[in-house]
Amino acid sequence: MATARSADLAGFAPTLLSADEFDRSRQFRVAADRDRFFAAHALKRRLLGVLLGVPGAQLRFERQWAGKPQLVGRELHFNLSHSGDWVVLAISRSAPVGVDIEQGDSALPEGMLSLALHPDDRLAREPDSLVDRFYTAWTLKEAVSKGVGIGLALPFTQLRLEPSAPTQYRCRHGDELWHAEHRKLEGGAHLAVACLSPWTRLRLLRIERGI
Amino acid sequence: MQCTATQPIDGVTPLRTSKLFGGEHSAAQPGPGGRGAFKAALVEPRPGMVVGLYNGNGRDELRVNLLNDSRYVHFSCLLGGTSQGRVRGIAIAPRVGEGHIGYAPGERFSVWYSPDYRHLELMLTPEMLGELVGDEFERIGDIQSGFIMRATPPGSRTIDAATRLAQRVEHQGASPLLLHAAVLEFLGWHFEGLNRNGVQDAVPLRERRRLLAARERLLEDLSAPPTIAELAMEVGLNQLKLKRGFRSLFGMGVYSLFQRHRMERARELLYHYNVTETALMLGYSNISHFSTAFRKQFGVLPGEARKNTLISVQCPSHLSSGISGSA
Repeated sequence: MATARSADLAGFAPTLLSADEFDRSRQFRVAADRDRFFAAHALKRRLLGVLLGVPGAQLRFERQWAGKPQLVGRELHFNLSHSGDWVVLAISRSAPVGVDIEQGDSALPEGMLSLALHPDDRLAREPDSLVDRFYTAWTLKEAVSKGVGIGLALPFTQLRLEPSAPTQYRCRHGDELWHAEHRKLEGGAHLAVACLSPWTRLRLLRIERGI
Repeated sequence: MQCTATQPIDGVTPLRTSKLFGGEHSAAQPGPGGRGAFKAALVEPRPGMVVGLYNGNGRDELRVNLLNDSRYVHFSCLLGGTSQGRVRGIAIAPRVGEGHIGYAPGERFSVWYSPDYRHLELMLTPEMLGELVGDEFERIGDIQSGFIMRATPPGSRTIDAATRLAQRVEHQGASPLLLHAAVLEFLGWHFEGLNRNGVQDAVPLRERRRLLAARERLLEDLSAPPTIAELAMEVGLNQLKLKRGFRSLFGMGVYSLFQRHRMERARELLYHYNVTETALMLGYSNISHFSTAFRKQFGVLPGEARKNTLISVQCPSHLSSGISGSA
């Protein structure tokens, strides 16, 4: 899993992106949104390219049924998320993966509380505040939901979080058992990753200045 | 031409979809493979065009592995209950009202349907689809690749069109022209949904979740809308994102959406209440404001609409559909 601030990825050549991605990045009217979109997709192509041993610009992507992107013809799973100026990419060689980052600096969205929590949700460590509790549950469930790849069809209220270790969780979706992990980053951002197969080692890579 | 892969998979020969669904339209009812877990009604308005309506039996859920031997392009819409499936490692779980386009000859599916499952499916041969939509064809995806599985966003118009088509299938003996028209309308809204897909991509999933919550909250009480500022705070989006997101995702602004639902509700209420009562229930203290808003949406004054609905309620059903349809 790689995290970065979008400003640190601004040096990538625009030609790294596909024409379609580049066009989409131009659609953002706010410069910060545009930069973050560029950073996320540049990071995706650069890192996946390194792992697969091909130039990032040559990678081809397609969309699954409900829009989840995947690599064409290659067995490498990935998922992207961004929030504020954070960009995060999760990669798994073995199974579908989902990731979510929330800057978590806004006031607690009261209207979302009832949508985010399952009555029997249990968190590994009781968070300091209701805001933290909300974003912990939210990012974990969003990561699972993005991993499953059915988007909004998966209501958070039906996902129950069950802690398995200090920062780790299990979460059942139908017949599938998803494994998830939650971390709090410097500056208070919440980060969660979920994968269909358990992992022995989660590598967290912090990218500071280009790669 | 049917795909005839009959190799046992994991030691179990999967059921063919044509057996279960009558997908090759020869069977009016599912064969023994259907196990009575649901009922299928199939009509074929033209060669190469089949409409199927599937209803769970209300008691049993159905979990089954399938081999797709259909060579049709499927346009479907879940009308009720739950359906889940997996093909090529992709999870498929449509929400009610969500459109779905699938073309997967020879693929293996594992599916699960709830007992209250209700599902409409329009099946077109690629040739028939080409004839109907011409150059638009490639917008559904690359058919040469032999595999298309994609969702189109839910929209009230897709659901309306699907519901109308389902009614035409259920009440067989309906005019072939109307059945055909309902097919084209359903197909048309699917393609409209594809238009919105591109726009929707610009709204990240997290924002979509919040926007859906905002929509729910907005429509909770049709007599008193929250302010944009309240709504934005409650779902944790800024006002600009909320307003833009509504336009991208739902195709209209926050208050236009509210007003549209309010007027739809007004039309329902006018079956049972007079104009003044309806206006008051929907938070209008000024009847002429209500009447103006109603006419803006439906082209007739609420009093006239009420008169029409009363006539249609008193008429025999086969006449009333003509009358209320014109309102």
